[in-house]
Amino acid sequence: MARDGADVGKVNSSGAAASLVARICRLVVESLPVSKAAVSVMTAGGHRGVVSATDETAQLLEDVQFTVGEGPGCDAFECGRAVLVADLEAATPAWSAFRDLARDLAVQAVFAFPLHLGAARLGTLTAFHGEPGALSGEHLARAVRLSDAAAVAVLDLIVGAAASDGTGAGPDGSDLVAEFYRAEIYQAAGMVMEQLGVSIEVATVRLRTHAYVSGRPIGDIARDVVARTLRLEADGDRSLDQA
Amino acid sequence: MTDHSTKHEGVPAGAQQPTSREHRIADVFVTLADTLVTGFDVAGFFDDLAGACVELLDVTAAGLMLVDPAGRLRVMASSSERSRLLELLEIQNDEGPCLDCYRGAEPVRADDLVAGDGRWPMFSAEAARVGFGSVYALPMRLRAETIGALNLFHRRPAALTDAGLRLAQGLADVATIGILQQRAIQRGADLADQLQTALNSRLIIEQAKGVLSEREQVDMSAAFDVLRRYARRTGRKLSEVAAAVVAGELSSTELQSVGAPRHQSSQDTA
Repeated sequence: MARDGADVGKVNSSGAAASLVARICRLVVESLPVSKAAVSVMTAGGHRGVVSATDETAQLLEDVQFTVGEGPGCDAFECGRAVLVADLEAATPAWSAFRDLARDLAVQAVFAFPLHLGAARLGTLTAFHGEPGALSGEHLARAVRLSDAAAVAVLDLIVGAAASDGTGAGPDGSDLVAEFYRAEIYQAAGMVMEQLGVSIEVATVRLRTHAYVSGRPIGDIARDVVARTLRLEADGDRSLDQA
Repeated sequence: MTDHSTKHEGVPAGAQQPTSREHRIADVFVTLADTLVTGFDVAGFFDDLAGACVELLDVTAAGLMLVDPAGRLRVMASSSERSRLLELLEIQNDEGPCLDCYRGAEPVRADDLVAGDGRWPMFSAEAARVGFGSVYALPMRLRAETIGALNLFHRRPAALTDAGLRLAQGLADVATIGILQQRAIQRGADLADQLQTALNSRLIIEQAKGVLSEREQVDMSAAFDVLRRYARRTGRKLSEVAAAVVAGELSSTELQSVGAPRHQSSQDTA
């Protein structure tokens, strides 16, 4: 097993969310049989943008999907499931614009992963390769693991938080991801969504922002919200312990 | 007061009748097979399975854990909040029968946690504190791989016989088949992606619990009951109902009503 978590951790402790996303893209290329990778931010409202790409080709292949509104990344984002295309020429979906450009750029295999935290949809991680061929089970597990880290990194990017600022990031980056396995974070996000009348994405961002600003792990913030001792407000949050 | 009454009053209510129990076992397997055939929902299926374990094995609580792509166990379903917290604690402390079961790919039985051999000091103390006397863990095995564990908790020591454990392993195997089934339905999907999807659908359920808990001002397990009851009443998938709640497409009136669900537009005012 590759030590992806430890590698992610190195980047994580060295700086901002943006460099973590870039590092994840490089790890995808280094540890999987693929030649390019990109991470894009997407929202249900239609906002789209490439956050990081290992090269110009990956950037162009992401851009074309946003322009025409279809492609493997769009599908992964919509259905919340990995879209694994071992051979683009033999693929069932049309994606004509994407496929034409991929052919011009000599890309033959595409593997797109959704960056979702429960129902909160934040973007995609996509890997490209110049030769057809499926990912092995082990490679796929590694890709899914890296997409887990990318989901949290993209959330931090949206929040504008440096991931190393004590908001749940331990010395090892896998702690950052493990922190997000806590059921309370998702329960709290649902509560905040209802309290503020916002989408689940905005509620998740609000929780992460509160954690960042208060310098506490998001799991602790979530526990307080679930225990109803903390309530996030549209204009400034208040602790009900102090009230 | 009641110790002399049963002799003269026939079969007391709640007594074990082998034939009716066999019928119940058959019923449960048929129901589970049914959910496998008609539109499969892994989160709802695991929830049903945990409930079936409690009923058929006469245990106090049951839970199912799945391994994620990073090799960590995560709680997928639990019949009670008490057993869910205990399972979470076990994962956090990296010590306990369910972890041993997963790592060794073998059943683990702890017939008496109080008078135990001290294998899991933190787990045993917490289990005793919340009122569990025995625990059993069965591996979810898929060829050479172990993908999770079925955990059974009882307030009494030595609650399960060898026959009970065999049935429990059968139910653990059904859980494994459930994962395989979902994989077969979504052609081309691989195991890592499958487990990831299953775990993410669990997170959507947690988000929906949060929404309902806030809206109805009830605790998380009461919120879960609202979701589950609505899913059963309308024959919709649990994870689908949870997603509709988080998307703002299900009002409380609809959740509490008996009729067919009606959709309304998203109320995202962000």
